[in-house]
Amino acid sequence: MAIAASSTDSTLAIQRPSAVHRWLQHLTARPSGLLGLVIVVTFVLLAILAPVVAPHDPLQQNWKVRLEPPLTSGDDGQLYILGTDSLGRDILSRLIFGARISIAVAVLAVALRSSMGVLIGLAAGYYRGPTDAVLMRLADIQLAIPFLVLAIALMAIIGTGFSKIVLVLGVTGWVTYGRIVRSEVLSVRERDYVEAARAIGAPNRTILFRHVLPNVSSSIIVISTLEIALMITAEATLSFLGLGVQPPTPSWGVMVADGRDLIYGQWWVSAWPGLAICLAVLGVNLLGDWLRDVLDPTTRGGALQRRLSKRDA
Amino acid sequence: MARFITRRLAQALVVLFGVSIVVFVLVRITGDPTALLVSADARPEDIERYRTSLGLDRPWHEQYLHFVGHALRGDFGNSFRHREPAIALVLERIPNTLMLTGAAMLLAYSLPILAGLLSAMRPNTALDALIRGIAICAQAAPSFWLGLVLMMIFSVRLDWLPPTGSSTLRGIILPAITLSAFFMATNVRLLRSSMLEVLSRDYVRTARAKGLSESLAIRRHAFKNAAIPLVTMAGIQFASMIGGAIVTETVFAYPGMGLLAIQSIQSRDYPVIQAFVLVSAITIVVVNLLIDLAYVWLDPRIGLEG
Repeated sequence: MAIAASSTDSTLAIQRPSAVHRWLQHLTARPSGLLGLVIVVTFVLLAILAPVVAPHDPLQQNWKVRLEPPLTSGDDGQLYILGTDSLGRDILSRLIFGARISIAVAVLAVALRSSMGVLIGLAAGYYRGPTDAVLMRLADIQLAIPFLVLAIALMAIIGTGFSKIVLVLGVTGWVTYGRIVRSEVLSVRERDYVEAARAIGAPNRTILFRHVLPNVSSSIIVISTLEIALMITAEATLSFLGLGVQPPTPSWGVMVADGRDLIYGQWWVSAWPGLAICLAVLGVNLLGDWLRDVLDPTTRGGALQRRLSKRDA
Repeated sequence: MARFITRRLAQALVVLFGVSIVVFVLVRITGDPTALLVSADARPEDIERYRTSLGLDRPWHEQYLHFVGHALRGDFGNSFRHREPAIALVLERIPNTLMLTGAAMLLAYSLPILAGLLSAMRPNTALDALIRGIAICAQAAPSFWLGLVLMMIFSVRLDWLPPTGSSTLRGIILPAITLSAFFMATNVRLLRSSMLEVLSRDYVRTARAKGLSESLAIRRHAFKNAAIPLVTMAGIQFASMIGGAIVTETVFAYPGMGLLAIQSIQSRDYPVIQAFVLVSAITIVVVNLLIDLAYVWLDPRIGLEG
């Protein structure tokens, strides 16, 4: 066993530089993917380092510097790069702290969505028959209720706040994963190596998690990236409607709502948080599109090859 | 054909049955709905009488049958706020919402087709890059914010269009663009990629090789096939728009059922929320059924499979 482990280690060690090289090549072949990665990494770093990089306290109200336009220093002599809101809070600092909420809600909700969807999809595809029929009818039912309608009704009933928004966004989104995993399981389960695993008496669980799941992992990664973008928007939307994260916690959606009645004069109060959402979603989408092209076997190489040959020409 | 239609109808009924259970459960998630319905200072015997009058002392399956029996007759109880039947309030607003989603669907399935075709026919040119750039940015913009930005530009600065939405031609333009932007962007990208894929297929190459003009080859052979994913997406996009309409209607104070739903949520008007969820689901199921029928009409092979 130890010998086997060390031998795989050594092969990995030999392959590693080429794998890194390959990914770098993929990235440089498509600048939009690189741009997406840079945007995402920037937002994640800002979120982690928020207390260090934010110039002001995001919750500190100051009635002397209410609604200062961007790039002006208030009566207190401090510079407010993106201006202040109607309570005199620094918008840039609130944006930076808002990234924490956005990223945390999106990542946790997607983790919940994907694990629910993957389990349901594996069960439906592997057991087929009545299990499959019941689960897929459940999917139909859920799709007949628009995601936002269901999310809003649930938030209204169970109440608002960080953990509830994660729960509601998490449990309402398994269908995309469930359907894709199911269809992949249906095709994979007929393959020879799964047949062989079953023939040597491997238990269902081993077959599902060792042999079937790795085959659907790249689809799951791609969907999850794009779902993160959807969840960032969903959190902001619910918070904008007053059904998500509650003030004074700095959430981008709450911040846009704060500036809703100020669009006649103080445009910056709602403009900046909206742009932050756009940029974050754009970054995640660019990264997701790139991952899809790299990981999807039907386009793998093809897209890259075309790009590379074009550059050479 | 007939078998396909009956099967789809049966499926639709199963879905609606499921939705009715979801709606029934929604209000009972928190436990006893009377806690939400009576004022905090109500006397215990009043609460008990209220529970009995709502049938909450009976077993849950009896309660469900009671709920469905009334729901089938369109009875969800009276709105707490308006003292009117909840269903009437929702149905009153549904034409406005259908007008808004209809206008948004029209936008999502007109302009993007032109843009997607332009993009796909001249791939990797400046025009293609511009169209794709706009599409990917429009896809990232949250609709509630886009609505505010459009309002800021076209109502406040330019004073071209009213800042509040209404079902008039002038009043529906901004809300429809706001609701549709994400779907327009998605459809441009969808059509571009499916068009590029179709254009590389053999039958298009044959059409070109046999001397068909480029525009004829595209119109007759490529576009029809490339448009299939768009038709498939129509039902899903319509459902999303019914949800998105809640946000758009709130931003523009557009008098549709989405705005009603948000107002009802703020005042904990549960009968209206229940009626809203069920009416949304019925609308979506019916529209999807119609799209499926249109599909059979467009592509007879689908009907034969069922």
